[in-house]
Amino acid sequence: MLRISDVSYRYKTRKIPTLKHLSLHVTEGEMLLLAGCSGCGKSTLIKAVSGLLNTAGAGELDGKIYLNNKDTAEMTPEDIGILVGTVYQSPDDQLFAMTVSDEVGFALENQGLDENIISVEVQKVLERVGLAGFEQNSIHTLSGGQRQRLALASVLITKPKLLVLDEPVSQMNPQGVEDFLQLLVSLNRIDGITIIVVEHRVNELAKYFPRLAVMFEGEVIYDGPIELAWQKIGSAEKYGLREPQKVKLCRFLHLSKLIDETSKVVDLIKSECKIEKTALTVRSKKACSEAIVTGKAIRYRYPGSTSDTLQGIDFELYKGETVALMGFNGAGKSTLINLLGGLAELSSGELDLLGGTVGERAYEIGYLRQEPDLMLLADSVWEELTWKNKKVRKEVVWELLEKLKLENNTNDFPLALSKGQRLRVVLGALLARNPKLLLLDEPTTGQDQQSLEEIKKLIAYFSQMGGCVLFCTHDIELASEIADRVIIMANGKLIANGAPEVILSDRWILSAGGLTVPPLLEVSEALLLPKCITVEGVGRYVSTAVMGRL
Amino acid sequence: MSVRQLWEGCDAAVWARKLDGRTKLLILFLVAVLAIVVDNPRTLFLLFTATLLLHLSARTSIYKWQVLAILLLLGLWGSMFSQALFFAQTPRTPLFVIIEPTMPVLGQITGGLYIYREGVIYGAVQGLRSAMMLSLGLFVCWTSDPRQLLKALITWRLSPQIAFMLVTAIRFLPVLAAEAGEVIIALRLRSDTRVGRKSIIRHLPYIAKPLLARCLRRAQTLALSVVSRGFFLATARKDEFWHTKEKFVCCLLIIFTIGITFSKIVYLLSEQGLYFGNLRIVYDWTKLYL
Amino acid sequence: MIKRNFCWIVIAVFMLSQTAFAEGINLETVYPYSLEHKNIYKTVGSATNPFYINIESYDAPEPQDVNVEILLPEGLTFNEDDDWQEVKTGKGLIIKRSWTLPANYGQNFDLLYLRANEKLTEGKHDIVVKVSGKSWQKNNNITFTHEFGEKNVDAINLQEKQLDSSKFNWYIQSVTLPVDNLGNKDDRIQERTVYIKDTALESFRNRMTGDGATNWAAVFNHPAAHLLLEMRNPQQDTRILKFRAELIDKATGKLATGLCTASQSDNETEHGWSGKSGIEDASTAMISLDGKKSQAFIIPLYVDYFRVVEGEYNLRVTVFGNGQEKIQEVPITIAKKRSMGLFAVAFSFGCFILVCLTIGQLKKCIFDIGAKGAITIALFAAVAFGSIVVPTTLFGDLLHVFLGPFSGLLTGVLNGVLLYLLVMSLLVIYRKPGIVALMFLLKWMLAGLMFGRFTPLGILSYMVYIVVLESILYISGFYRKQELTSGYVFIVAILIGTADAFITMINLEQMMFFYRLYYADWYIGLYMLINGLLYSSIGSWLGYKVGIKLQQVMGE
Repeated sequence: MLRISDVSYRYKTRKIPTLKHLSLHVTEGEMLLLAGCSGCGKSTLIKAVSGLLNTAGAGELDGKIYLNNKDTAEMTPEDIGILVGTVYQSPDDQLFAMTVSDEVGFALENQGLDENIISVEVQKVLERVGLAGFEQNSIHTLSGGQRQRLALASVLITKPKLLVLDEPVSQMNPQGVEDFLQLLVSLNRIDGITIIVVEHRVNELAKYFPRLAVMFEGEVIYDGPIELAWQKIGSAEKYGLREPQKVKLCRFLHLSKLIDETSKVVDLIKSECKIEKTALTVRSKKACSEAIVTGKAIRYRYPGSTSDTLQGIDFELYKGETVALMGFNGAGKSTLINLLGGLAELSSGELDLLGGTVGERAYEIGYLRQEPDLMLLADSVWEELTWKNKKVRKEVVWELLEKLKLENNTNDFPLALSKGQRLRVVLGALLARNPKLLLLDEPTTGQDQQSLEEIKKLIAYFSQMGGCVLFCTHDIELASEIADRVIIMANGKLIANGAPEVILSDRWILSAGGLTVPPLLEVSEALLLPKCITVEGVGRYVSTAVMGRL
Repeated sequence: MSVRQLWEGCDAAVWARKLDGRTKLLILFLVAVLAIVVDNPRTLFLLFTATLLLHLSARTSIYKWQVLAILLLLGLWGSMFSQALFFAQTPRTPLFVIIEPTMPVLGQITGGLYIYREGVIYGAVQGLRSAMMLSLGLFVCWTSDPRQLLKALITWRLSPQIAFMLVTAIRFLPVLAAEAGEVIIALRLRSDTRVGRKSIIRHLPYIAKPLLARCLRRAQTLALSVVSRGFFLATARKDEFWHTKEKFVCCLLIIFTIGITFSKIVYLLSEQGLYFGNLRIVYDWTKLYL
Repeated sequence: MIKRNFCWIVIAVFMLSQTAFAEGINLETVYPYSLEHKNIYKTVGSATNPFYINIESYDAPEPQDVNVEILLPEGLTFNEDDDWQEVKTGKGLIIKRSWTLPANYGQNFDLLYLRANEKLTEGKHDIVVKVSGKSWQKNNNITFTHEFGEKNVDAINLQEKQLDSSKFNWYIQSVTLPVDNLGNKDDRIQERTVYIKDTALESFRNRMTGDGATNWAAVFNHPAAHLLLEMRNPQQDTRILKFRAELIDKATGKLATGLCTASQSDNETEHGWSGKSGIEDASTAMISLDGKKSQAFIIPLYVDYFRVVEGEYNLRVTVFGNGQEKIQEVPITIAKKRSMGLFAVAFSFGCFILVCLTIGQLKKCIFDIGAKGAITIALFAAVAFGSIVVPTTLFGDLLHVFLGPFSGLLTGVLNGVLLYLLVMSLLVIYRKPGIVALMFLLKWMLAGLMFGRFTPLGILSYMVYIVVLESILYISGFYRKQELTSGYVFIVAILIGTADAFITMINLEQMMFFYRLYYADWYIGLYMLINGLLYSSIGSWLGYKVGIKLQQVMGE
């Protein structure tokens, strides 16, 4: 279906080629997961396959790309577009029409087809992606997951043989990811469409793909069966990949194989490790008693609404604590965080922040919104960190820049930095004000593994300095790794509040909070261990394998 | 009712919604021409009343009537205010003196600034022109989806690429508004004063860069998507069905407007010396009604 | 030879000495006097006729006093004058006055009105004029012939005499306007309407440069209209009369500004021959009755273009002289010819045609900049629409309530600064002809689709924006420049500001033309200066700054 043969590409503005002698062969009906860190050349490769690499003065392309044995150099992007359907990350940015049917019919309209034919085809495709009945809906009325399906439908209309999806699930919650990947699998199996998904959230996608190709610095460093990949590539973190938690566990326990299948992992542990009923090590718990925030019977109702979005919430946040706020979309997480950030005022109840109201203590709060790009306001990183912050000393800014790994970017235009860097600049700007409470709304969405690690370190650093972090997330793995406490919300109420191991291992709470079951919970249950959700958690009961890998 | 609902035509009468976009745009344009051509206050008022009747028959909701009334009154007030100040005909009766002609500098520059009673009335009459266009514009707006009007433009041979740009702009309007709001929130959050935390206006100058940077990134993604989907292949669409009745009404209105415009032009020419005796009845008619 | 030369020298020296020391007097007297010099030395019936006396003095080392005596024959009476004294003698009436002749050169002249009564016999009569100084006297003798005239004239005279003959010997028969310079009336032209040219910008410039409102040179060049004044002169007087036309406010009956006399130019500060007419609000002239029973005068009406106000007036025509005054009022309409408005509309139509002719180039521009460029323009246009058109539509009118027509200075921050910020930043990213056109076209279409603003004025206005801005950018070499330097962009920003000032003026003029609105010239100037030049230049400069930053976000 697709044959990439020794392709190199160098942007004129760069010295080093972005793609280096890259070869890849994808046969018809295959499903390939192409992974790699930000900047490894994945997007450039997609553009090359779609025939959209600007070769007219912007770069030099060598090598050949064949689609159905046709050289793409002899095809126009529109011709390629009929064979290859490409869906890019952030569906919101690739949907331009006002209604669902207009968006889906766009490609056929451009081919000059009759309106009646277009209408029939649109109907069929929408049914296929599960959007039947939405034809005349405005795109604004669709949810994130529906938009991604619509983006998919808009390329499926031309009946492509190959689907290329660039980070299609980076903005989705775990439930949405699962639904979407089910759809992809069905398109592959039933319609026989070859699928390439470019993604670094390998942990969630691995189980759907038999084959994984890993790109690093413009080259494919691994291409083969996914179950062999973990062993072959060594440290996944180096390549910006987020390993499946079970693989991480295998690596942690030095098992002889690195596998992502629960039953096999359980069998391996049973055969290679010694299992204890009592914990071998005890997780150190932070002792924190000084409340920074106290909320009592908090209620909030949006103007014009007939019911309360927050229905009498009581909670406390302590100094030096990292708290994860989780739950369904629409459970009231953002509303709560907006109240804490001072963007809304309580309808009733009490919210005490360091002995005063939020309005009085606003300067003690740092609030990172979901779209950090829209929080960048200055012309340089330095200016950004000192924006309306006269108190901060130069030494502090330099120290922070080092922590953010931005010491070489002080004069750069923040909006021109990479995605991870942009997020870190905003975080830096918030931290430079030395807040007591840091509010983070989905801070890791769309970030690759390297960036994720940096954020984790910054959060850890902040809480060590005595700050309190409250972050919204759908990422159970992240919550279980860095949170001292998890608060689950549903329908405007707190349904659970406690230690991650307790809360995130309760299947009822997980279900009520719209969360997926942590992969290691199944493992620990199969091993008849007390419920564990982290690698370290399992490790407390299972000794490192003596006969496995070293 | 939200601002978006206000601008959507979902609650209008079916006949108004079903009118072809071309019919609506053509009527809008022709009435705009009439608004320019006609001078007679009574005729202007009649035209304005006709546009209000359209709203009435389209069953414009009470809320929208309120909005229309406010906008019309504000518009008329604006016209009255400006003409009260700048009325340049006699007789005129100054009601107030704002700047004395003898006042240093300003008085010399302006030659004195007064509120003239006759200007207020004149402004109200002339304001009927913009009022009727506003009223009809809102009628079109409240009874149509932007797509309907866009379709009309496309059938009138609007370049598909420009049409695409237009659709893109409309599609992203609410998104951009939300993002602008998000930037303002960011600015409020990052403000160092309590006033800054509440204020919106003081943050407006800083919106441009993050908002436009976001536009550029979006353009990158969308461009990749639409080129593959044949953006540059698109050609103008064939003529679409246009109801004969509507066509007929449009033709009548075109002839009517051309007739009115012709009368007015020959009348004006006669004033300048280009006089034709056999058009005397036209001159009389124009003088009386236009 | 030497002798001959010597003679010449002696003669020359003699002549020079005579020139240096001699003082001379020229006495000129005419009766009956008329400007056209017709019917001279002849009087008819009991007509009043002017007597003209002019004493020209020259080469006088110092001022000197002279006495003038005029001996009139019996039957010739003198109409009272403050400067002259009359003494009755047996021979007739002597009228006297003294004059001071100035040093070096001077002219002293006067007009006296003499009327024949029934005692003046038919035939020749003499008037003796004596002018005497310290040691000299000059005499002039004027002989004129008197006739009784027709009988019916006598009848009228007798009738008038019974009333007050001195006041009913001439009157205004009719006032007709406008007529051409030959006095012909054109029926196709609206009667009693004076069309005057539009001098809005000129007036603004004058005020700004401190020259006052009126450009006298412009006034001096052409009369706004001609007026046909028909005088009845039943007694066949020969007279010099003064004519004055004034505008009268219909409502108050007070004198209105607007008319003037072409007697005062820029550098002329003294009174003109018809008095202080340049300063008073009237058109004045002198007319001469030449003894005919009916006489028509074509009198130019001069309008102070810079101060006149359109509208309905009464034109008060006053003819006076010699203690008599005749007034007639006629309704008159002053209408301004909107030359600037016409120019603005013509210019806009030109722009519209130009854009229509080059519309194909826009498609080429889209293909040149690619889908990404096209989408960027669309998104920038959406930002422009959302941040400029929407707030100015929704809140502009509200601001009008408080600030009136000056609200534009506030909303102009959006229309000027923000719009040009967006345009310029877009131009820095995509520097190609057609970008501005696409941006404005989309902004207009968005306003049309979202607010139903598909109006002819809107189309014309946007076409002006497109043509003027594209032209100014093309002419300034913006599209060809290899690299944009700050200095160069600064100049471009000023140019764009100037272009926007021009566009502002065109758009306001169009508004005035199409919607019959009035805006003061200073108001247009204010908008041109603030909204046009200032805001747009600032916006363009900021746009450049934003644009160079955004270039870094563009990607590869």
